Amino acid sequence: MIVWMRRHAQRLAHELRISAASALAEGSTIALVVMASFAVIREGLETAVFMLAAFQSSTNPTAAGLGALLGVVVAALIGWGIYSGGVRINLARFFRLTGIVLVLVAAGLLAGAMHTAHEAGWLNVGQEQALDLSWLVVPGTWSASLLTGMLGWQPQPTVIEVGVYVAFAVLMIAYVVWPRRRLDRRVVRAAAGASVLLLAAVGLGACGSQTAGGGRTVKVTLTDAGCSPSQLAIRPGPTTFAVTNAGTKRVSEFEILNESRLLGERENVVPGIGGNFTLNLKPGRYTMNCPGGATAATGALVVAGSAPKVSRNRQLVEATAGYTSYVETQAKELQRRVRRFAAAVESGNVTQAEALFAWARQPYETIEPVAESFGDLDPRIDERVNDVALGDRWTGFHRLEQGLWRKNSTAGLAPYARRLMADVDRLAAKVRGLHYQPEELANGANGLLGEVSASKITGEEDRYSHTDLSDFEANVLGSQAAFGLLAPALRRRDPALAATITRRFTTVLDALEPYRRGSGFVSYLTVGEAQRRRLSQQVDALAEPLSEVAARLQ
Amino acid sequence: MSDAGISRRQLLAAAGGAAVGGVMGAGIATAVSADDSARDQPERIPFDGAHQAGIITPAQDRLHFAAFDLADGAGRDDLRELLAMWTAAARRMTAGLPAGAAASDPAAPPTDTGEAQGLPPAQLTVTFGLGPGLFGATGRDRLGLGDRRPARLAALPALPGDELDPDRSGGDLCVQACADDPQVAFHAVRNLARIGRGVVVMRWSQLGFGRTSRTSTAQVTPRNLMGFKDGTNNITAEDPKSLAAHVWAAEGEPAWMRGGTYLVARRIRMLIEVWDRAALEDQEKTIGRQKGSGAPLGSEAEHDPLDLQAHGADGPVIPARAHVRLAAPASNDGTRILRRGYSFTDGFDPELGQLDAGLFFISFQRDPRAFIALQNRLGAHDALNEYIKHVGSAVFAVPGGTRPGEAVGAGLFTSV
Repeated sequence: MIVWMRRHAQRLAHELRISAASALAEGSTIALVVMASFAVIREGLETAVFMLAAFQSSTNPTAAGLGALLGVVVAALIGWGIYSGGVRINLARFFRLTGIVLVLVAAGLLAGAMHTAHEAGWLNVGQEQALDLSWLVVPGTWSASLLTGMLGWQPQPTVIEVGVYVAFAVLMIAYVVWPRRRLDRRVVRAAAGASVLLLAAVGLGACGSQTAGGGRTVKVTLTDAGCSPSQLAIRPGPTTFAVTNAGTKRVSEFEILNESRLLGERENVVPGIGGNFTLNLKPGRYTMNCPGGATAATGALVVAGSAPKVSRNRQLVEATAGYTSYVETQAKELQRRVRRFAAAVESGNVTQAEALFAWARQPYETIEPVAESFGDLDPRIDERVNDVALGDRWTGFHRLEQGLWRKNSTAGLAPYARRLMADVDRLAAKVRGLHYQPEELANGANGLLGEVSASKITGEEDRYSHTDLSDFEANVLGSQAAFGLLAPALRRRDPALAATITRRFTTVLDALEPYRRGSGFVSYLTVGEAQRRRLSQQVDALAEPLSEVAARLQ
Repeated sequence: MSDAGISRRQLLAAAGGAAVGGVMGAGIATAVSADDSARDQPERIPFDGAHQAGIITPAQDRLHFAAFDLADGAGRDDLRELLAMWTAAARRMTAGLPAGAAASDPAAPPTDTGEAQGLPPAQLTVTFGLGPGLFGATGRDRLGLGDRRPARLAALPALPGDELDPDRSGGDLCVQACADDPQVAFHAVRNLARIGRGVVVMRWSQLGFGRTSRTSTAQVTPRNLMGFKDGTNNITAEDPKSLAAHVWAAEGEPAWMRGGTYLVARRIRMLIEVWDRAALEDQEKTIGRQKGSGAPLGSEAEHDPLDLQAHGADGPVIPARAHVRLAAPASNDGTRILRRGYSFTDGFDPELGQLDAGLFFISFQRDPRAFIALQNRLGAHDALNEYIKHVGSAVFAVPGGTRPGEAVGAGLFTSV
């Protein structure tokens, strides 16, 4: 395409000029209008379809509409500019410029292909992080959408992605930009040679640093207390620190120091605007600083152990890719169910809202550990009244639950239902295309059982509706799904452990069966102390071997 | 020790063991160390020996006792593996090592929970027992071990004065962890419970904060929560004859019970508020001893023999229903048991607004029927019953000791 454009740019410009001229010469303005309309209509339809999709997943339709309108206005202005100066525009140069942009787009697609190839397990070299562009491509911002969407720039591209991108872009831009007459074979050969050398260098670099460790992300949250967590133990190798602000005004900075030397920092981290930085840490003790924190202004970071191997075997790659789609599916199902639940609340139908409550929550409970990784989303969606920080507003499922069961009314609940829907939409947008490490699957599976033990068995989760068993089941199913994806890899490493866990999942789910009623479960109030204890012990028996899985996958 | 090098502490322990080699020669595996108050005694009690440690080991200060039930679906092989893993972990922990031999992997939960790190072994002993349920004596014979049940192992019958809470009674297996440091004892039970998860579930558990008996003549007689000296006439490690006659399993028991015994545990709640309102004279008459010195009523010193015949102006000096009279071997055809109980408190009983405290009674005997006969008598007549309630009860067969590397109760699974 790019080559074709390069070859035909001049002829294309020439033909456009001739046909426009002849159209005008023949005095047929209608012909020009039709020609222009056909040239534009396809793009217009496409834009409209994109807009529609954007509106549907947007949490703020007003802002989205305004943005679309602004875009149309800008486009119109540019159009008018071209029109008024259109006669003089050098279309050859114009096509050459768009050619350069096209090269960058194509390079981005190629880099994306490298990423996909890695996910499919075909490409395992050069997976270290090459650059940290997170200062430029700040996830969640409009500029990032533009840079990632159009040019394929990622916040933390890998060595192979950067290498392929640069090599392709250098070769092709040289080809596109070089004046045609002087473009002889020697130049082409030199450019091609340079690109091949560049690729080889990248490949070698990738091989050389392959054992040094893969880019992994450690999440740090700034709170009033300071750094959370305030104690971190990680393994050596490149590590990205993703810093977010949990809503504190006291703390806005995160630093990592060795003795008193500043190794990395992120400043001006305020609610909603996080930041990343990456360090390649060697074993040792480091200090984390969150200036202004009340009780955890400093913390300890211990780096110990051997660096993780980057290349994963195919089964694990499939497992993590499978989990990405599992989480996406659950998030979509959550949107669908919450939409119905929210509609029932908004229409004032208490009976229906109560009937849908537990059902609507279930997909959330299957992917709770993922949702929890997005800082404020989990509290907004699933916070219990006793967990709300002083001065914060209580929202989400349990706020609605309280209104429905305690007051037996939907009065005043509609705004909460709408906000829940919006938060769930945000969650669904965030999990799209998210990548996971095998350990995250294992620990997520483990974490879900922890949820069961900590708040479902005790009946604290759904304290107004007593639908805890429904959450219980969803937690276990989510855990089973994550484990199921890891099971093929685990079976090769430790078949006995895999068999034990598989068996105990069945035991736990079977133990829930007697309590099933219709599409849900009996009220947890009717489950006696001895029965609760039995359930609890069966979950413990499952969680114990499950906690060993992460280590076996290395 | 099959694992780990010899530490300085182990050398010390070995030296301590050598110093009391004479006692070991008499067939008593456990080193009997110096005076109760001495702090320079070896802190490590060997796990292996002719008998399990924690029976005639000089009673340590703290207890954590736990009873477990076999989990649904667990089979004979699971039990065998569990006993092997428990033994290995106990052997390590009693040596002051972490429960797990493997180094901890950063991606896995630690192989030891860590709270005993840096603490001395604190004379930790871990004693394992097998309940009647394992042999199908209380229901279906799930493991097919019915034909291996020691004849004397059966659930205790209902006894006079029982007010048992089923949630504090019974159990298929028990772990008695004793140490001079409560954290060391807790650590042992916690790690064993963790290792057993999936095969066993905890049924009940009891912490004891102070020993109420002496199991060695070298130990001072402690006081129980009633304020009286307890265990003055206990069987001690220095009395192998009485041990052989009353504690160690009889001839004719299965091979794996050789050197073993039977453990009876009773959670005895004291009605502390009522007791504290009783006059001193009433208290002494209830027990049959003087509160201050511990001497029998009518005698001078703690270790003076009980004179059950002595009569005063208004009847026997030691009243007919006094606890020591009814419990004395002379009143029970010479029956003796080795007591090794601990004072406990579980804080507060919110139902009654009273202290929840008392004696966690543990006794070892060659035949649980010795305890049954004794309690049958005490429960019906003891003046003390006015101030106590038996709320928990369990019985276990305690297999004999182990050789290094061998699992407790391994003989249970070898073909006959």
